Amino acid sequence: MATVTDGHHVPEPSPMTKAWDYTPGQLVRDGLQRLRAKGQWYRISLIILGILTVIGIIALIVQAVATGWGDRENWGYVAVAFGYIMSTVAAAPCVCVAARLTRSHWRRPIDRISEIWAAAMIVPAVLFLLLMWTVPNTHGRPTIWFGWWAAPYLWDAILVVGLAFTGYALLYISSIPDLAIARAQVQDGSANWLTRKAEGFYGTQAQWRIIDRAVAYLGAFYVVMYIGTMTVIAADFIMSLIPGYKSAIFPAYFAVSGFGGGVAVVVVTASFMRWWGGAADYLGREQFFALAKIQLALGLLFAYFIWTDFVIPWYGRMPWEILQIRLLYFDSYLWYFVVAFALCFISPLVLMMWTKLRRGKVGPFIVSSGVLIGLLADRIRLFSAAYTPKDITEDRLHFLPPVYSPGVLDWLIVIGAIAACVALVMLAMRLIPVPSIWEMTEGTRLRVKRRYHNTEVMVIGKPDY
Amino acid sequence: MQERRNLPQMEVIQELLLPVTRTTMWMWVAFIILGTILAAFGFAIAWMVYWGIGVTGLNRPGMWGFMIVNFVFWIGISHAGVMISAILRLTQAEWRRPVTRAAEVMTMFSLMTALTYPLIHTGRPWRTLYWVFPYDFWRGIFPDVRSALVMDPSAVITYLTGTILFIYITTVPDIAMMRDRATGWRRPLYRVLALGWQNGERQWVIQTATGFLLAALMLSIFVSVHSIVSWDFSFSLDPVWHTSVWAPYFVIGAVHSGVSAAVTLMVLMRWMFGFDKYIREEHFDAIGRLLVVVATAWVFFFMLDVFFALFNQDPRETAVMKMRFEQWPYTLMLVLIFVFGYFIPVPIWMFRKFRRNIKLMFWTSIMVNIGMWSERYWLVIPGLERKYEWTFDWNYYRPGIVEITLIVGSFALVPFLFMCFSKIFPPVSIWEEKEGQYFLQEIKVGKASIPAIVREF
Repeated sequence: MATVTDGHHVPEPSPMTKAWDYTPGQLVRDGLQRLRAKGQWYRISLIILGILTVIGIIALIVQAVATGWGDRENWGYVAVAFGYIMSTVAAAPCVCVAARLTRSHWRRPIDRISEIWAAAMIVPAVLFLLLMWTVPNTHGRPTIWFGWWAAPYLWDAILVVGLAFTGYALLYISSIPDLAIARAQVQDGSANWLTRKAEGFYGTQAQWRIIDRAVAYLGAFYVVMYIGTMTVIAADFIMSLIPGYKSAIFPAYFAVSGFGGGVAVVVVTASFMRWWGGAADYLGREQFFALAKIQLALGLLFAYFIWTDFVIPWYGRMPWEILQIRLLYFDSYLWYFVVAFALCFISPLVLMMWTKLRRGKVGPFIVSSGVLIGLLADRIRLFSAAYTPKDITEDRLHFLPPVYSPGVLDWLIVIGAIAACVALVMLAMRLIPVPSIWEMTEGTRLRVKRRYHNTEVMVIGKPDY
Repeated sequence: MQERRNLPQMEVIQELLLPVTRTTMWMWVAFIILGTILAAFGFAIAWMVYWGIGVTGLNRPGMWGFMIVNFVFWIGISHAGVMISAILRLTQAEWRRPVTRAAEVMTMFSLMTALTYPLIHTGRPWRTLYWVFPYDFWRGIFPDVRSALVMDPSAVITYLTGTILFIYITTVPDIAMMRDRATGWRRPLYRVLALGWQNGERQWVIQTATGFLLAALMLSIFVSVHSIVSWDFSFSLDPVWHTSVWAPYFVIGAVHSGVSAAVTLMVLMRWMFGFDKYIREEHFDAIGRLLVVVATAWVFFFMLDVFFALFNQDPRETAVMKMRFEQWPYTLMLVLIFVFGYFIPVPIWMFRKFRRNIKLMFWTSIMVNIGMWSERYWLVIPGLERKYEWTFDWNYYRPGIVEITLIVGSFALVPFLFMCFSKIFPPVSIWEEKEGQYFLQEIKVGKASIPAIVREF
């Protein structure tokens, strides 16, 4: 089928998402089949991830017992794990929220893949509660709290834990129709506990209206909360720990680079789902093409924000500003910065600007994997730099703090935290259908093929245009 | 429910060419009023050039006043064109069609207006030429290529050139159509400008591809222009100016004010040219939703700017922020910024019913730009008044009547130029409108008819 865009013809972008031609019955059968049948590789992966998680927890306990909370430097990589998960896992649900708000049609198979990462939000919440002890109170140092009671602990905790709860609520509410389908279809009493939670949902108009609005409002709230949380993390866990570091763009950079990480997580998960998760018919080129465009845009924003963070002190040329950019960009963490910049900006720009690569499925996967690695390097750069200065009450840097070299325990903690998130998501996939059955069904009804002169085009319904 | 009606092509052409073919009474009234203001504007410039910059309220250390504020403001307004044309074109947002041309033209004239201000601000505009040419690279002191003040005109002129090219490329099919219908002096003009357009398939492919390419290229210029304008200030060490957030903050603020100005223009085109069938409520609905997101992002950056100015508790920054919050006229401006820029319009735009109310959209869009002009003033002026540490170097800026006339003149200049443009070229893209008629469809889902759109995927 040839397609037509704003006045120009493009070649057939096959294979399209085949699931658009499925009947509702097929979509239900297929979704439930995927829910039940998890193969040997699923179990093996889960076991490996479980072992890594346990090792990570042990490493964390050893770290706490051996060094205590007194020396902040030793907790730098726990902060890295926390920051990295906040910038990837916690950002992933934002992808489906943005796509829903713009009423994109391609999003439907991606939505659940994006929001299911909220299942892992317990991990950053726990890490945060541990890290709270490493941050001194706001007395005598720069802060955005200006004397608020119990700052920064109480307010940071409210934001991080609140974000986790919002994520779980978003995932649960958007899954209710699918859970109700699962409940209705499972006759042999093998319905899981979560499925039984959807007992009251029968698909009345009023219930659908509530689900629609709840998902939209909760999603928007999640994004706002995410930006707020990332802002205070950037201020309390990074900026205020580096004497004299004042960059108003930095919290925005921290959040935007997190969005890049969120998109990367979704692309990588979608690729795995396509190759090994039995969702090849759902995840066609249109999903990867659209996500790759967002990845490209976020890569550009990454560079723009980095540049604005860098260029102002570079022009200012005050001694402490020079030290600040030497710490974050040049001397101390140069190679971490180079890796982050190459993988989070140059690679998306150079590869994703080509339509042919964007339309492919491997191109976006490679770029997104790179973004995830680059983002890890970036978070190591930032949190290590923040956790090494000894006296944070000084008004500015007078010399470069030493570079922190991670030990085995540090890496085990980071790997364990990431493994825990992946394991939780895989477990959630046992309970909740991925991709979403109801959104796919809705999508098939809003999509028809029509003759257009000598060709056939896709016409997509936009309810409430 | 879809409000669009399928119109015969001839009707579309005739109605959209109305401003070109006829001058309505309202257009005459507008021409006369705007012309009168422009006469005063011209007189103010002549007065200032004759008597020198001393007739303004500018005095040490506040040498950047109303004119620079207005420059920043109009550069901001110019961001509507790319936001609506380029970004919405690239994302294939259908509702852009009736707005693109007007927004692009507004961009062009806003940029021209903005450029006027730094030029006349020199006091002796003709001297600009021999300050700049020949460019003094070898001494490396002045003008310095690393200075934002040098980057700035380069960026703005690149943006202007790109915008003119963009408008031209997207207007060629309409010019060709007018060439085939025009008589008198218009015919040779359109014949030259139409570049031999014959509606061929290859020509369409080239035109579309060029439009997309230009749109993509313009995006980078779009971001760079206002970033560089912000660096005019933040590369210095002045308190509250020397901050890294200003670049994206200026850009998002520019989009906020620019898109709001596009709303104002859309309403005016409905009222003056009778484009009700083309600029419909659904378009205001869509642009209102966009504005909610843009305005919220703008407030986020505003908060970052304020919070992180106070973050280090630097005495000089804190003092300027205190002045901004507590002293006249900055207190009033702060109220205007928040109330007009966000707290009145955004809650209104949250409701579909209000987004579809044309009058309400008009007044909220005006409010936003009052707020945004105040914001530019609030950002630029106070830092300069407290530039130096010693109190005997402090001063207060009070604009003179000449500057006020110059500012009012700019608000007449842009609409005047837009109306002149509308007398020669259609202010709504006719070919895009006709294309849009084919792209909009309806599908049946159960008993309901749902608006639909032809899509690439």
